Amino acid sequence: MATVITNLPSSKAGSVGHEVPRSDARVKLSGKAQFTGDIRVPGMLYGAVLRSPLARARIRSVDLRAALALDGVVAILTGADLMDMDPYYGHALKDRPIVAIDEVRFVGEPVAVVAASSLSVAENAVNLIDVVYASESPVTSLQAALLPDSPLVHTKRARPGFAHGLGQLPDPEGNVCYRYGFSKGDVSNDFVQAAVVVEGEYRFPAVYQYALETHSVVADHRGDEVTIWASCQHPFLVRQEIADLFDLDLDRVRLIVPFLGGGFGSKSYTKMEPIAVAISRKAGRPVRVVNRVDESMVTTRRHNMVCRMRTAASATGELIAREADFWLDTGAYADNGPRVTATAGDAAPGPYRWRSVRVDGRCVYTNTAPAGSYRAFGAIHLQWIGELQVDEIARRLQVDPLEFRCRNVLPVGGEVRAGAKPLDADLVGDLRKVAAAIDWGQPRTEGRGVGLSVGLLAAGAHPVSMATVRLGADAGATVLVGTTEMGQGARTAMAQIAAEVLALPSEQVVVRGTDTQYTPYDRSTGASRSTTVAGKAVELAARDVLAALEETAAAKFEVPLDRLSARAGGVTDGERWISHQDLIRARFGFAGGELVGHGMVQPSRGSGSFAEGPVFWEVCLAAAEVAVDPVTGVVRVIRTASIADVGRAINPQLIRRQDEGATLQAIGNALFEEMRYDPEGMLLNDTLLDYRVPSALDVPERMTCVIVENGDGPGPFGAKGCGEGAFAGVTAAIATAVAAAGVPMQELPMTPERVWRRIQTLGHPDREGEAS
Amino acid sequence: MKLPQFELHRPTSVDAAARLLADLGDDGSAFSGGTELLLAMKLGLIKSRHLVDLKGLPELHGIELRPGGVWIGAGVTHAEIEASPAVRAILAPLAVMASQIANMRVRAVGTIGGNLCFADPNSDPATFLSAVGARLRTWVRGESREVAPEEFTVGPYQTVLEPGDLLLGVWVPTPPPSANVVHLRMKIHERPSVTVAAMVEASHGEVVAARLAVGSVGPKVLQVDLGEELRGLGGSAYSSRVGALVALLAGSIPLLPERPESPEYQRHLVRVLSTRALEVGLAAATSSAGRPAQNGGGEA
Ligand SMILES: Cc1cc2nc3c(=O)[nH]c(=O)nc-3n(C[C@H](O)[C@H](O)[C@H](O)COP(=O)(O)OP(=O)(O)OC[C@H]3O[C@@H](n4cnc5c(N)ncnc54)[C@H](O)[C@@H]3O)c2cc1C
Repeated sequence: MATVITNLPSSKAGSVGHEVPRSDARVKLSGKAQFTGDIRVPGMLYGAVLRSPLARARIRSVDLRAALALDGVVAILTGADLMDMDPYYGHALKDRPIVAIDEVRFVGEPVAVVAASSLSVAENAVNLIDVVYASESPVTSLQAALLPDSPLVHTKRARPGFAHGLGQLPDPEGNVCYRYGFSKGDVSNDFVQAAVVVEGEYRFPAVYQYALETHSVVADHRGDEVTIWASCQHPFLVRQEIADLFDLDLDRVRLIVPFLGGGFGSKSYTKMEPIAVAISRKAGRPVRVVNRVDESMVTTRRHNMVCRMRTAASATGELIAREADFWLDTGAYADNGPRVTATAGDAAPGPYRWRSVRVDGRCVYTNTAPAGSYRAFGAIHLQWIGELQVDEIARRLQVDPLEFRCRNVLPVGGEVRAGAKPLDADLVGDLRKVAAAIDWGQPRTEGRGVGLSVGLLAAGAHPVSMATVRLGADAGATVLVGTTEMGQGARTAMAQIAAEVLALPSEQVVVRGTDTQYTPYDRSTGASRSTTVAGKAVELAARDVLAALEETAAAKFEVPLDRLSARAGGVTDGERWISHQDLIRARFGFAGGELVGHGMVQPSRGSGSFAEGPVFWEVCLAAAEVAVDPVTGVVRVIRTASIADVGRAINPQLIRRQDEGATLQAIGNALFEEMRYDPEGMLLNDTLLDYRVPSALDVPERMTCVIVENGDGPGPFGAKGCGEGAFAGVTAAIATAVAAAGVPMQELPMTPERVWRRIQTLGHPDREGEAS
Repeated sequence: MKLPQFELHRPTSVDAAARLLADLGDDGSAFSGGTELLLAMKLGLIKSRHLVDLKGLPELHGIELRPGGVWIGAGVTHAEIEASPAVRAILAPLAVMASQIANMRVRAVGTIGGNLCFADPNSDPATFLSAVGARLRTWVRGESREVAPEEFTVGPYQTVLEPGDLLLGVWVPTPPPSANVVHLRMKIHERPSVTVAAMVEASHGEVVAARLAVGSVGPKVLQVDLGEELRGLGGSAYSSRVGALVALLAGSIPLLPERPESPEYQRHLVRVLSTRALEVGLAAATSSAGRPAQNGGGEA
């Protein structure tokens, strides 16, 4: 029976704060991990998608006869099959049909989907579909879309989606589908009074998230229910959207999410799921739809942007006013564009003590592939611009950029934006740490430049997450939580949190993928929220289990509850110890059973922290040193330092890997990644041969991640999220470093040719006259 | 984008392979490492239903040191060249050049023959081999022939070979003892955007012979013999003559249309890399006179 031990086991169990190895490393390295593309369901068909070759056209006719005649073709879906339903979806704006109806709006838009007995039959059938288009002249750039007489990409007024969360939708103006802005103070007057004003127009390119795994779905629609295996980041939001779209009960839509081969936002919200469900509905059998890379590149991307910004300072070195107007190209459908626009707007002022600010952002439709979320969206768009201007002002006032920032950044508790959570991070402390990490102020070699950047990103999304922890009779625990493991190590971190509370070794805690039928609700995996919000739910669920254990132990030891704590896989009152296993046995009176705990995070329940938006301000703070070759224009990133202001590091190793990954993506976004379109809206570089992503050869000589633990986060043990901040921070730091090397750039990526051209127009690396 | 069905043939002699390919005509393709071929087939750019595997032809394998140079079979991979002691012994820059091609996976299976026969303009070996005066040995309608690399390529993705013709290998002559070879490349995307190779032979700091090859910008490699122009020059006289010649060349070299980089920038790079290659070539030839050329290549 229950053994009570009086020489207490040592309590080295502590899991949080330790560099616990990734629980998914072994299955992934041995090739045994299951991804959506590995899934085979009995009776499954293979789907292939016919995509539009034109950016803007009316569909005159679709002839399926030859394709249907092909042996092995089971069904073909076109817009005509969607007449019995409301076929439009979109979580922000319900503007997108499952497949094109009567017209196409971008090159690559799905026009038909074939389900066949094999992929090659399906692909052959796609080639046999005869579509007659009447081409119209497309709107393929922001500039064209904003002309007063531009054709409209959408002529119908968009309806709000189920999760737009952006208040009253404004009246549409031309191709602008969403507008976000705010202002405070008297901007015009402050600019007149200012001693120094810097202004300019800046450009950010369209880039692809480039997760290794493309969008993959297997859908099985039968009767009034559907099961979907999908590479999606937000299974519960996809469930909701599919239920709405196909008029099914929520509990009849089941999403199963295995490992994701990377997400970075490209798999947030609904992507290829509606197509897969619709073709399965038509075929009456499960259908698998797996994108090729070139198809995923027209499924989602990052918004390209044009921004006009100006910043004013006083002669005594105070930043006083900023104005930003920007236009984000969201492509043919809004996708997450409205949210990206709002987040960009929030990032536009930067974390400074402004007297006045005016921000006006527009989300614009064009006839290009839809743009959505990508790691650090919004902040990455605006931070480099604001920080270049801050540097230029510091240069003109002959103040050290570090001191200039320290003097002007918001203090802890400062107002970032009216109505939002006050600043919950120590930016001056962070700035000094990152500067030390890059040897700020040390003499530099010729041709080198060092730059800093600081910004904030509204993180956490909507704080609604639940979790369940089951402690079995063998004292192993299982965590049910809806966070998607996409390479960030979420399952490891969740295991550590539960292990910490229950004083178990983290290997004894199992975390599996989401199955919405069994896994409790979690809003999403994105916005750096999982460890903070879902992690808090896991902590609460584990505490719920612990409470039950302690209840039994209290009766057993005949001590009050407050004398008890978890220790080394059991519970102790400080003198005696009993294992979880024995407590479960004692509780139920036989060798079985389990304890189940529930945890829930919701805005109204939070200790204030979850009640105010954002959940936390993610600090985007970094430094970089670059070498610029004035002859070829080649920029090399020599080293970087980033701040992971995480409140409490659940797993320092996972945090460093986040910042390293973000740093490499930042190098790609800053220096070479760019989707190029021809005037007809055709993507020119849809393979890795000409869309260059960062490789091992681009890794800087040194990447330092400074982990800051001030215990000031709303998450478990004082934690707050990370993983996106470094992306915006390092991108901006590379831009300020290149400027410090003498070449202030106003367009990303800073390709060799652009840098070379800039050097030509500057005449001399010792620049003058740029921003006026 | 799945690989279409095809039939694989595995001949064991050059003659059999050539005859098979001649019979198949457009329906057949020679198949070495497949790094270009299979990709092009997946993209539907090549529609051959028969692949004739050349890996079983002994004649196409091996790197051999022979009097006056080194013989490299068409089926030799970039990785083999990179690691070859024979190559390193007579022309180390060739090994360095091979080590910069693509990535480890492509170098492990991709062959020098496949590179030259595919005739992608963005080729390192094509440029390098032109500068060092290499000769390609081909098998044309049952006969063995020799051709200069810059004549082998007709234009982008086009060579002098007809269906049934094969590339057997490459003959690389040992450079004169006082010569130095420099290969430079600028890589902006996956493949090099500009490749430049120079061979400069000098005696007592003065040029005896010089050859420059510029590739990856135009439809084919441009090779120019600068011996006449530069002979006897050294020091600043050399530099200013090089400056003038290279400016002329960069301004007039034919460029491929529709590149991500502008013509202006490409010409600038041609000028910068050519100047650098010729300058380094002379400096190194002078400092290493009497020793085999050891100077490697570099990434701009
Ligand atoms: C990702 C990537 C990066 C690359 N980067 C570079 C680079 O930086 N620099 C560079 O120079 N190259 C680069 N390449 C090209 C690379 O060098 C070639 O892919 C490789 O050498 C081709 O050899 P293979 O044996 O695979 O040819 P295969 O694909 O087998 O054949 C290519 C073509 O040549 C024909 N062929 C092959 N052998 C013969 C023969 N003996 N006689 C007649 N015809 C023949 C085939 O029929 C086919 O048409 C890159 C390629 C890739 C895929």
